[in-house]
Amino acid sequence: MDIFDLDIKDFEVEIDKFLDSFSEEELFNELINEGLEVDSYNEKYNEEAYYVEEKKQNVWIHKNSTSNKKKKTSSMFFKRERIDLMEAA
Amino acid sequence: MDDKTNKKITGYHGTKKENVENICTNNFNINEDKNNKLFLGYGIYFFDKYDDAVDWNIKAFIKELSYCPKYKILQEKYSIIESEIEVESDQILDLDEKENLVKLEMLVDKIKGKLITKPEYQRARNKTSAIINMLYKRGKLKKKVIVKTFIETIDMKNLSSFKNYARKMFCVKDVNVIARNKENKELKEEVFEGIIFFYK
Repeated sequence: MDIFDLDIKDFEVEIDKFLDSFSEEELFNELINEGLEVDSYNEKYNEEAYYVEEKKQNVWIHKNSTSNKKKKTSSMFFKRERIDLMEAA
Repeated sequence: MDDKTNKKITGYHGTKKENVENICTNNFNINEDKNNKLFLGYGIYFFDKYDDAVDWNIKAFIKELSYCPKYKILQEKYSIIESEIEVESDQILDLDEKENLVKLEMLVDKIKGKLITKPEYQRARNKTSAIINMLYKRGKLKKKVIVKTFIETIDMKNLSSFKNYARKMFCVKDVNVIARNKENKELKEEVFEGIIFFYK
């Protein structure tokens, strides 16, 4: 059976069942084995690094990024975050 | 109901000249190397238009040698294989159909949700292709050909409303559907000049 031959409801049931058969780690490793490219950029930084999600472009920016545009976006994000925190306090 | 009618597709595959003889004699061989990272997963990729395969060759030439090829040099180094693909209609996954796209999107979204605590997945590249490869490996997807039209934006200075260009591609997952391969040597200089214009 090919899952794309199923109607959309059965398709959803089938993929839920399929994905439930993997743990998170197993699924991730399986995708890496099938060509998922985990960026070497990610490996370059340690776990203490934090990232900002730029919502419009859906990209992640490292705090030490050398790109001025990204830095600016990052700094704007944290400025907004600080204001939100101050208001919350 | 399954559609068993045979569909004949002519596809154009750009490749290096040195590969042509082997492909025409022994057929294509699917390379499952992890470095073979194309958007629809492992397979042999064809364009439905000859010109798009020429464009592919020009891109490959520039990537390899870092300069724009002249007509004759491109002819010496790269060629186009014209292949006849014969496949039952129910063995084609058409990702230009909305229902199939919705299903794929649903699947990609569920995987994203399952791996939500893994930021390295969210930042990773080649997700769709890896997911398609996994479905084939696990026997969930068995279609012999995947079809998808990709939209490319061409850098147009004066015709901004016309800058979107559609390229239809076939990814063959089972080489047994390729009935014939022959080298197409008909690259006309004016066709080449029309394509290379955008790289100069």
